[in-house]
Amino acid sequence: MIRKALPFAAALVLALLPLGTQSTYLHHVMVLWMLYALLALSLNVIIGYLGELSFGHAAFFGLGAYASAILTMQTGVPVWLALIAAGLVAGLFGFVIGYVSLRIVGPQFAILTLGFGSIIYTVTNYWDDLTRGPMGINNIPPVTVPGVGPLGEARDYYFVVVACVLAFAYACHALMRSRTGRAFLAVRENAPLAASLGIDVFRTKLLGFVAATVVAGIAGGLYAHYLRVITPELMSLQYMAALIIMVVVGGRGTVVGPILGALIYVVLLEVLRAFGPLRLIVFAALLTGSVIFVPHGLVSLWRPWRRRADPAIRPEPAP
Amino acid sequence: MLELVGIDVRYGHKRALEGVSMRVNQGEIVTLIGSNGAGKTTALKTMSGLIRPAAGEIRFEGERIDRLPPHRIIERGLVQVPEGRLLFPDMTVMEHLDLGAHRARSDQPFSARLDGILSLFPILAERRAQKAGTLSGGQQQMLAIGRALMAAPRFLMLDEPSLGLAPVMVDLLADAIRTMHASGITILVVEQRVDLALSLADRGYVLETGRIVIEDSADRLLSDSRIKSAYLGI
Repeated sequence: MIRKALPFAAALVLALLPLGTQSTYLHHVMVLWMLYALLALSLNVIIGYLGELSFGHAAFFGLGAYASAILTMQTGVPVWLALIAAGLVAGLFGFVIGYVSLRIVGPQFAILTLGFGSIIYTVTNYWDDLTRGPMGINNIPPVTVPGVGPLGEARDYYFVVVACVLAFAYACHALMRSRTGRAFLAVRENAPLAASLGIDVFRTKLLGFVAATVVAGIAGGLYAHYLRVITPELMSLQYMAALIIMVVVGGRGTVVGPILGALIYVVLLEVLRAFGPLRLIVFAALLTGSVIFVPHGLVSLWRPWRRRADPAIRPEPAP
Repeated sequence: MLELVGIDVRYGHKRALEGVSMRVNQGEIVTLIGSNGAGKTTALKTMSGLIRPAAGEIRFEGERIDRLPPHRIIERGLVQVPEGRLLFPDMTVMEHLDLGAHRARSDQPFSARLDGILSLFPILAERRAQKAGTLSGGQQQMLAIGRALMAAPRFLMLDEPSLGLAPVMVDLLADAIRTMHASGITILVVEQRVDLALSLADRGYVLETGRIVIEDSADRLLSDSRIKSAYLGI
């Protein structure tokens, strides 16, 4: 009973979190947390469910951010439509890159995604006419909710993003209980065996990869219309590493892990702000320490406690 | 039903199969015997599409399948139980059975197939929520076969089903194979336990270093002096 109610309680707390404080600074940090959580959850589909490491995920985030910003500013389409377009653009790139890269696995795949990510970053940086290069794009219009008007405050924005996070988290949860989700795990655990059971390994991986890039694109769009300023730096190596840190430190292959990882990242980023670039060393240490001491992420720490209450052998009556 | 014509398989430069031709007729139990490294598993993997032959043709019910991906072959009803009862240790019994139905033909409903399997292997019904990694060897083999049956096979290939099983389990397994056969499934079984394989089968092929060297009825193979000395130790 408690185990069933726990996710709903957590979702409720998450949804109402900004009501607990008046500080706009804290609201801002919360929005960043949710944006990163959405992004980390999408990367988790690749790292956690498909078992492949992608260094290119920040590029899809950036593609979404740029697509949405440029569309709204140059064609004047409403922001909600641009957000969908952001997902589609990122997904299209994801499809092409995945179609090429997913034929190989393991470290080679990771390196290939790093290459594609770097290409997208470089093109964004130098295509002045479209992206304004390293100067970035500013004065991006905010998200407008019909009947409410433009979202000016971080607190209002939080509710939009948290809705996306909760919806996607639920989608991940539902996926992993479905036959398609089990096919993902079968491919991750033993691809040749999965193939021998009739699972189309390549298509399964492509499906997960494209879904992850679509969500990353939408997260990018949300990011652009929240901060209202974007630069190519959000596709840089630093962001790629940050995303992987969130997923691995939090706990890959779980729904709670990436959300927790995003919280740790955002809080550390703020707490250590005074240290400047030295923060990166702390993050590196965090990743290293986590891989050595809690290889399954922080969420694995409370698992042993839960296992005891969940006997391995649970006979059920026949249907 | 299944026909191989002049199949060559190479791993790099090494030839694993050379000019292998064999056929399995509808309703038969056929066995493929041979020592370690003769190419038995390679032959099965080639039939289920996991390995592409370098030359030759494989026909299933008259149609070529040697260029099809594995999931298309399974859809036609040609299903393999891999050697060493490969399971996913962290998935439950029910999850495995559901996974087996991934590409099942739809002419039989899921629940009917599930009921059939659970009555063939009642222990699986008892252990339905248990993780596969915690099952005994015999139960794992039953689950591996049950998972394959979920794909509604018309042609089932078993790779070393008796490997590492206790004698009582081997008897149960032989009964299960006969039951599956009686229900209309054509069976190709690869075995190192040649006595067991020949007692089940109608016909047999003997594979030696990638070539078919003997082909005969099971009865005659059992009394063949070469088989006796090489595989039965008599």
